[in-house]
Amino acid sequence: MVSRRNFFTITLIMLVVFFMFQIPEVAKDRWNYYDVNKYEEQTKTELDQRSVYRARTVDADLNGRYIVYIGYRSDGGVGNVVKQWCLYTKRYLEVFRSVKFYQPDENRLPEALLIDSSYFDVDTEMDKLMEFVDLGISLVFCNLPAPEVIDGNNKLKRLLGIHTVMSKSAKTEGIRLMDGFLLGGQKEYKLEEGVDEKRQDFLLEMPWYWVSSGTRTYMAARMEAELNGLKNEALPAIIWRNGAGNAQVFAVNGDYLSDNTGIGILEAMMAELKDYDIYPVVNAKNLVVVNFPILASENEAEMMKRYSQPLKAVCRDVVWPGLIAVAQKNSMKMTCMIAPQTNYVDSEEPEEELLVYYMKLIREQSAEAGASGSYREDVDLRQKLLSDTSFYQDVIENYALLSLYQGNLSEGELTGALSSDAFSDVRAVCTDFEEHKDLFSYFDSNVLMQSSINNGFTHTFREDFRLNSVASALGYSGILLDGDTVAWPRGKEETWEKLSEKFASYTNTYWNVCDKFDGTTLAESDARVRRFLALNYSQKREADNIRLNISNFDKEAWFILRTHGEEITEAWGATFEKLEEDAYLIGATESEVVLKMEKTSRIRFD
Amino acid sequence: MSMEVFTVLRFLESLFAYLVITFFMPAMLLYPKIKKMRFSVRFMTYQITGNFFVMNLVYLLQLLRISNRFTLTVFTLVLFWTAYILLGRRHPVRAVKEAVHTFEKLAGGQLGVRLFLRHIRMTVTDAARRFFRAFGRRIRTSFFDVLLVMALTVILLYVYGINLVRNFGFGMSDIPVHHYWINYMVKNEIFVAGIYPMGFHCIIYYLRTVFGIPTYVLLRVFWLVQTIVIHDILLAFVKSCCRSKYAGYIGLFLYTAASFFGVHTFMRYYSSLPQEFGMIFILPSIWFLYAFLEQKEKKSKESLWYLACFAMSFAMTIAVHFYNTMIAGLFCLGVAVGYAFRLFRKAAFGKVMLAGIISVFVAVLPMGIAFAMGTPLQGSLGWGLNVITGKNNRQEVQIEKSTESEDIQNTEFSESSGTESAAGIRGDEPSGADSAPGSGDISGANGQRYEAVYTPPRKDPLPVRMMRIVKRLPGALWDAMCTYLIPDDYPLFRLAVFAVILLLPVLAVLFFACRQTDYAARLMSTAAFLALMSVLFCASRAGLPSLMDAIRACIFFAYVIVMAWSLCIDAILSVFFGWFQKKWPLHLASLLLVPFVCIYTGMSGLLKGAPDYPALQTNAAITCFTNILHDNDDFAWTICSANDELRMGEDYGYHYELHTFLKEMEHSGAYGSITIPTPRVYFFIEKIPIDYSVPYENSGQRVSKDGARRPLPSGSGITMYQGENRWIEMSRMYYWARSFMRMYPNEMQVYYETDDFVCYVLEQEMYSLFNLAIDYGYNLSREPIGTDE
Repeated sequence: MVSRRNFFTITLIMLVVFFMFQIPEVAKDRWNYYDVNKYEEQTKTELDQRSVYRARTVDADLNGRYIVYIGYRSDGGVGNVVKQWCLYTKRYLEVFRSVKFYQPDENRLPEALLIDSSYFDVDTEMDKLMEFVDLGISLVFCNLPAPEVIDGNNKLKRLLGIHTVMSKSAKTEGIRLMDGFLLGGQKEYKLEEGVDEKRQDFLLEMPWYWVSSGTRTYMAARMEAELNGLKNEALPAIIWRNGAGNAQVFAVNGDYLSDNTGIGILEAMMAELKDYDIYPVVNAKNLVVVNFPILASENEAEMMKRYSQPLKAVCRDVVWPGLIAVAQKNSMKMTCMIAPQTNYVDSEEPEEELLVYYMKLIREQSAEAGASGSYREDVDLRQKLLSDTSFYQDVIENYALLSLYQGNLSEGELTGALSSDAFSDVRAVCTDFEEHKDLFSYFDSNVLMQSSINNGFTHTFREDFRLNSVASALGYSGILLDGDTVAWPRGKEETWEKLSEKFASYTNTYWNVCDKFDGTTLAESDARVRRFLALNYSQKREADNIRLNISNFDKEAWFILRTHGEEITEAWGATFEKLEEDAYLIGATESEVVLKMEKTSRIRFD
Repeated sequence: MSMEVFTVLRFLESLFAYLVITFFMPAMLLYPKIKKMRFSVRFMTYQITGNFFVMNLVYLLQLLRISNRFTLTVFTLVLFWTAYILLGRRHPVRAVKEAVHTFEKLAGGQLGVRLFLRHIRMTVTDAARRFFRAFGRRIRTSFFDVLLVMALTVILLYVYGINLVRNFGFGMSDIPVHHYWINYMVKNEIFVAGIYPMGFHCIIYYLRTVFGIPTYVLLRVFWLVQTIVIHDILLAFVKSCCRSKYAGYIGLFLYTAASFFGVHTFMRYYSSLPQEFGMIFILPSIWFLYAFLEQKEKKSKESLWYLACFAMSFAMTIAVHFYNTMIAGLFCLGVAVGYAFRLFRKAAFGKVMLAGIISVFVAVLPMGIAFAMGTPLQGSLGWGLNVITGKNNRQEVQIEKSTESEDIQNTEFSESSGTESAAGIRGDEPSGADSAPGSGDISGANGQRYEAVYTPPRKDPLPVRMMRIVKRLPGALWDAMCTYLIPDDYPLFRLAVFAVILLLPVLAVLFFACRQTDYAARLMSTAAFLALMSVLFCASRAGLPSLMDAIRACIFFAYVIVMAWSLCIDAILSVFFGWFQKKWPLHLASLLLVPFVCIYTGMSGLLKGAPDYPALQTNAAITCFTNILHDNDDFAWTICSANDELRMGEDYGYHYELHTFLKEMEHSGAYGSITIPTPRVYFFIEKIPIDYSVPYENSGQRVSKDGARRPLPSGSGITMYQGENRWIEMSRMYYWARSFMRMYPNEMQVYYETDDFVCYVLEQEMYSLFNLAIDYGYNLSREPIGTDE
């Protein structure tokens, strides 16, 4: 028999336990202001298209950030990369169609002269290049003339540091990126046993140049020759540097500078030219999940066949937990581009309760909700916009949708969409990665477009190289994961089971280069990109101190400092974090920053 | 931390490690057995037993090829505890049983861990308390001894120790050779360059392996440890022989602090060399022989113990360096003269001879085993044997010299071959007998060349030759003494040398007459030894075969002459004060003499000061090397330098010979290929090249374009880095580094720089090594170097 006294005590304890668990849940639900976008205020900025800083001649004079490019600015290839890179790094760019048109001013020599070989006449302009080198102008061959041209010109071979042209076209087995060039360290892009063959997407047939002494190789091919006793140093070089005259000559054997990957390569080359290199970066790491969650029960038959449950349950119980796990493990913040429905002609309508449910989860995870601009081809865009507008206004009237996924909207459609009521607050548009498109650009005076870097379900070698390159140059990365692939699978390979395995393994393994960058939502990243584009800076070295002055400073600015055997010991006006050996991320909190430097290898006994 | 502090700490560490094995551990074992002996005798005993144990343990494990830190430590501890139990008061079996019983109780829970630990703590505390109490008692009873020993140590540290922190490098060019042999002992390859007395190497190897002090550090600092011990042994010997307590300090003080002895008599103390280390064992062997001969009961345990100690000491003179054996042997002959009335008795002679034979056998056994296993004799040992067997004709010495010089690492400039050959060749020319090799008409040529021009002189009859030699001896001794022993104008001290040789036999006869037999025998032995030593010292000048060149003999001569002076003073004091029943007048007189001599030396301006004895490496190079060792993982670096760092870093990293480096890019420039497969490569360049044993006309000049323009020295061996050649090599290397740095400004950086030295460090990617062959402006001359001559 339980006494009354004991019975009372037990009941009391049970009640205490009950309330202990319930109160937090009730509080979380009660005070979850899911219908307010907390990033609206946090990321508010006046910076717009007019604020973008474009370097002028005065910058070249004051800071020495001056590049001459021999080529065509708007060729959609190398020219576009050079233009973007100069914009992001605040370098003044002069473009000439031919070497002969450029007359160097000895009082204002460029940091480097970049050459698109298709605009370079080896026979007539070689001597001029030699003069530039003697003057101390470093050269970057963004691509190389044909191997037979190089082989037939000893001056060019000497300039490039080519010992022998071993072969005009050699079949290689992979590529090795050396340590210290891009962030992320040494990489081996060679298929090993058990690795998906589709991952090898580098062009492995290339001219074989054996570089001579006085060169340093940053990227080289790998081939069977290694087994035949040929030294590593004789393997086909891809990116290298040669000390020639009073300057350095960089050469790129391939088309690596013809897409956005080239931005990081160019910046890494500049870092190699100097004692140290400091340049502005975004410091943002996005995970954008587009067309997710889908709030209507669509593609019912397929879902039941593959998951034995409807789409909304798949999204809620299968996909969402997987996404959260990866995001948390990699310190990422999600931006969910909600798709109320993808099929606007069937009878299935989005569920308002489901939206509320997801909005609460999004709020709890400090994620952000955005809108998806993609739609199926059989749908009328106007109908979609009307339908989505009405749905959002009914459920989350006060929530400011700041981000939009462009999807398959054309420029005109995007303009139309942005003028609709539901998307009137949008200022960040996320796009799929396109090799020749700018990574950051203003769509109109106030809307900034950010390109993703990668699709979370694939990670080829070239994508990995791009990720490292962009992370090195911009401190930026963005995964764009399409929920539509889950909702409308095109085969066994597109079930979430398979997709999540790839997504998790690729992200957890290969995105560690971005570990030290801040996880951001699209709205946060938008604010950082605006600041990044708007700022200008100057820096000078005073003994052990690097003094950095930032103009157009707005709350914060981020920089990467790359050194050669030096480390930061103290910073004023900024925080700093070591990214890897000789690379630091600097977060400026004031417009004037001083960094105290010290040699890494200190003498212990003297 | 400054290198000076670091060096001092390393010295203290080495001193402590050496004393653990040669003082503390033997003392723990032997003290109960020999506590009645005087401290000076006990000190010699500990030194002998400790060194003997370590040398033979290393020899044994090396020959079995199982020598490493673990085996050395285990064998040391096991043998130590075994000896401790055997020599202890308790019955060994009972002791083991007690230990087993204690552990049984501990394991069974009958004895608590806390109680067990408390017992141990109490035992240790008691022992420490007893030790400190005894130490305090010792200080009280021997106050002046403690005071004088401390003063002597301070003088030693001042005279020698300052150079330790002033010049970090090796003092002699043959140290890299010893370094090399010790390095190979780490790989269990003793006698790597042939059979050689490895006693010194065994001790260094043991300290390196068991205590973890790097070999190069030991060779940098151990010389001070051994110098202190050499002086302490001398003091211990003199104190053991003298009747007064403080007469020994007079000689020691003069030897340590006075400046009248020539630089050659103490110069080698600034280097860790086997010959000097072996001096530790000469005098103890003689004292133990005295002690045995003075024992009335030759079969007593004490007598046998003395004989054993004599055998061990004598064996170690052989095991360390044969020159020490020569000196010890001569002293034994002196003992044979002084103690003839006891030695040639049936009871003693057989035992002494047997002990001598055993000692030779023990010392030679490891070498014999190696020889039987097919290891050839090392070059200088071969030379030594030729001297002994009389095959040391001039041609062979000359050949030996040229053969040795071919090997860059095995060249020993100051070891046996160099000067002896010159002395041997010019035996009939006393005036230049000990000048540097290469100064005579025929020196510098190889053996064959000499053979072609040499005509043996016609020999006179033996008595005629003997008479001629005897007549020459005083003049030759005076000449050798003026050249090496007391070179400057100190007539009083020169006369004191002759005086002691003449006075000691007179005093000995006096004491014999007074029936103070033992004391008289010691004096007579010393006198006889001094006479023999004098002959050895001036042998080449007197026309006798030169067993030891005078430049070496003077070290031993100075060492024993101060001992003789002390004995002589003691004998004279004994003549005046020794007849009293109480000893204190004698002690007081000797004590008063110490400050008197000190004051006289000081007032006469004879204080030695702290000589600056330069090293064969710059301080910056040693500093840099030490930093490299601490900054990098093992075998992740290469040093490209001239010679010495090869052996210093052999256990930790790689070395690239500077000459080879330059030679490989000669005429090929950027079309050559030199890769060094380590992540970091350090280049040691002397901006003011040192004189590596061989000075030249413009010694001390900086590297220059003029130097770099000169043809790269041809030939081989250490000559590449001597004289002007070093300047050329360093000049070229300097301009190579400058050119390379222009090409790779971020990868090649200055690691350490002083006015006279610079070290560059090159960091490289292991998958894409830099080709270090470049055209640096001086390596692409059209004519092949050397052919235009």
